[in-house]
Amino acid sequence: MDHSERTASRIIFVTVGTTKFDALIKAIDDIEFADAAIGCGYNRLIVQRGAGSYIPHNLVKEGEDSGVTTKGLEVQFFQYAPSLRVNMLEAMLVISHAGAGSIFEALSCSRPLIVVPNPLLMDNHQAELGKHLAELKHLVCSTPERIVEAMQTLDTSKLVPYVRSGTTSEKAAAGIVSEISKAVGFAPRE
Amino acid sequence: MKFNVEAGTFNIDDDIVPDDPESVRAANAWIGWIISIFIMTIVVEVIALVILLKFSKKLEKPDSVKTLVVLGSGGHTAEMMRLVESLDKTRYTPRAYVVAETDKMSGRKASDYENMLSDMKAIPGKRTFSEVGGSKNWELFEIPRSREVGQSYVTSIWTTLRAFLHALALVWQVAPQVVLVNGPGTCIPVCFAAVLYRLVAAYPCKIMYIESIARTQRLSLSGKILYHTRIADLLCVQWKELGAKYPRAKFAGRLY
Repeated sequence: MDHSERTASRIIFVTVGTTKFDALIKAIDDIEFADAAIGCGYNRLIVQRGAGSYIPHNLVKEGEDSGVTTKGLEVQFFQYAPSLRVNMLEAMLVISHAGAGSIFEALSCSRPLIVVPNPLLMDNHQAELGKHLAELKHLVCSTPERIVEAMQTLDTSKLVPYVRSGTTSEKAAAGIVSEISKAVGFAPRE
Repeated sequence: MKFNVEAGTFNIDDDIVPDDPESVRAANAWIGWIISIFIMTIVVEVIALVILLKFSKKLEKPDSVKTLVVLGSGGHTAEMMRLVESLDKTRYTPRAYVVAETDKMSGRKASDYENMLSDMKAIPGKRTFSEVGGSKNWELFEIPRSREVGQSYVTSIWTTLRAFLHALALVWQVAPQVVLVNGPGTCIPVCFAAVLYRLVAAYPCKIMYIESIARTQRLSLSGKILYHTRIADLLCVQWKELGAKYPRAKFAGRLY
């Protein structure tokens, strides 16, 4: 792929991290979703599908990792990657499970984010984080069943950029680190 | 002395030895001795206490601390490693990491990070970590899980006890001055082992708890246990709203 093609690609990146989230992958591997994505102006779909047992077969031929739909959406599935940051930076929209790591990775890349909590997780504290950040308008929360609607109604102008720690400190975790040091009570150093 | 049943009072009988001036003087001398010994004991104790306090103040101001880092699965490990990355490694040294024995991924993350630090040390011109001393200033330990998902409660009594005993052995071996935890199941036996250790060995071992960023409304079970037993020296939460619900918890920004 040459440079002009890359800049022209409007990518949706879907990630479930290291979890099993067949319901979301199944909702994505759907011709209705693919057509809606084209309708919204996207032309590529990249899916990190994780440890689930569902094998995509609607948008790609069963057993294959990539393909192109009749309406021209380029689709690519993969299982894991050591870092998803590049995928997120390339994307125009990120759809993610509600794991804290994935959420804050996407927010720190300043990408519009739709978060789908996994309803199968017991004591679903992931839903708590997604809901909280949705209330602060940093992202949009949805479900596997309503993912098409969430993508079509997404208004990126209404999203509020996430500022790390809500403070001006440029260093990550500086406040927590200083609390810990205070509690330890280190001797001063020259 | 006899008890008068009808009157319900004690009467002093005549057969008691009348006051002998010699024995009264001796008794007074004894009382004087006892009082002065008592006062001296108090003085000595106060002095000892002051010295002890001054001494322990010195103990409380270390230059560096042996740090025990408890890792858990997935998100817990990612958050904890993010915290470790932000720490001054020349002060939090040496470091010991604990993982559940079935969790190979977390152990690899810790060793990858530590190996990266030692590699940096080896590259000339890069920031060095030579101040920390020794070729290997970190270690990785495994302890059994207290409860696997779906395990019955009867067998989990035994596995919890086993995990606690392993945690005890670990804490005794490592002798940490600081324990960093953020809530995976493995952290509770380790925390209680650390508490027992600091009571029995009178060792200044501090427990720092950082609640997961995923908790916005209520503390996790581990967080609640440490909050209500008051055994954590520091309990940080990552959301202001959550801190407002728990007065002894501290909000000091987030890891992300």
